[in-house]
Amino acid sequence: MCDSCGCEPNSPSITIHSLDGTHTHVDQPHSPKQIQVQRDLLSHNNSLAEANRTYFSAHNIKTFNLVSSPGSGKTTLLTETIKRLHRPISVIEGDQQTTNDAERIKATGARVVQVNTGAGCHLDAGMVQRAIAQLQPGPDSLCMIENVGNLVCPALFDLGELAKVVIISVTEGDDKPEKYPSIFRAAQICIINKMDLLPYVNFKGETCRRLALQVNPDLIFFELSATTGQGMDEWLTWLEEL
Amino acid sequence: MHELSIATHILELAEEEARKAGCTQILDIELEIGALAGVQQDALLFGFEAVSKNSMAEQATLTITTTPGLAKCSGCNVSFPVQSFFEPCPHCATLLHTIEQGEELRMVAVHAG
Repeated sequence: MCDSCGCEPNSPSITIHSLDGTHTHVDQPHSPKQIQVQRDLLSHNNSLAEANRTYFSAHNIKTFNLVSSPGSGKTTLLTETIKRLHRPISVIEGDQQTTNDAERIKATGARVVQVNTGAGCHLDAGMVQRAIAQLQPGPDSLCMIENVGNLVCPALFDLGELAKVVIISVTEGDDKPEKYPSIFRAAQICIINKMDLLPYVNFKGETCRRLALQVNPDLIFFELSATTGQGMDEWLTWLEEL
Repeated sequence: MHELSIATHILELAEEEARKAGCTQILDIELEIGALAGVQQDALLFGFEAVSKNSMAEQATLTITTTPGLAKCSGCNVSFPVQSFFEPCPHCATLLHTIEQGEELRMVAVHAG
């Protein structure tokens, strides 16, 4: 309470007396507090990802997060997988712009939702949550999330997937795992695509595997060509048996 | 440029904590970022300046402590400092190791009034 006038200011205040006998109340700034937080910076994304994971697991939907640099053949791998696999697959298609890839998926007859991230360089768990609500993937199915083509940013963001699949093509160079170790560390599966072009490029599979295994000794490899079908059976069998 | 989206997460988290504590202005945010976490500090500071405009953290500074990388050799079990994922063990030259420290992305504290 104010000693001069008995009023009750709303917040802690300072009383300023003027020479003419009047006085005013000025809000007293809060004294700074140190709030202990100790939380992961991505905790909000991670809790949404956990909610997605719970949804997928409750409906027995096996979900994969496909990451690669642009042009590695993710969409072709997806369309060929959808055509050949005897299990229903739905797709969440992430790109900065356009619905081109979603159109290619749609042409196979699979259910697809396009997410355009605009300026964003990766999908996050919230975008996937909204896409699931639209896509309504059926129970006992596979759901493929095609992330934005980028080997850096998607590494940090859990979407609620069963596993991250990193795809590289033989035209990109065998030192990709050395240049972008975080994504190879975060992935469980590595697909080396465009194997049909191997005779024309200087790509050493052994070097690529060695570098990738150095950052992630548990990485599972598939070598294939989605275009010619070479090596696809092994990948498809693995998906069938999940 | 995932630093921009990390900056957004920092702002949301700090605002949430400051509001819970009844504060209206964020003065400083203490962060712990691992040397191997794949986050560029300059890009993060730039991103935070952009996303914090017209928020309660507009005047806030980011105090970042870098946690150095530490690996444990899979061959001889010795822990050693690393700057990247591709450094051999200085004791037995083995290339396989597990990262024990350096991938942190943590908000330690918020100073707010």
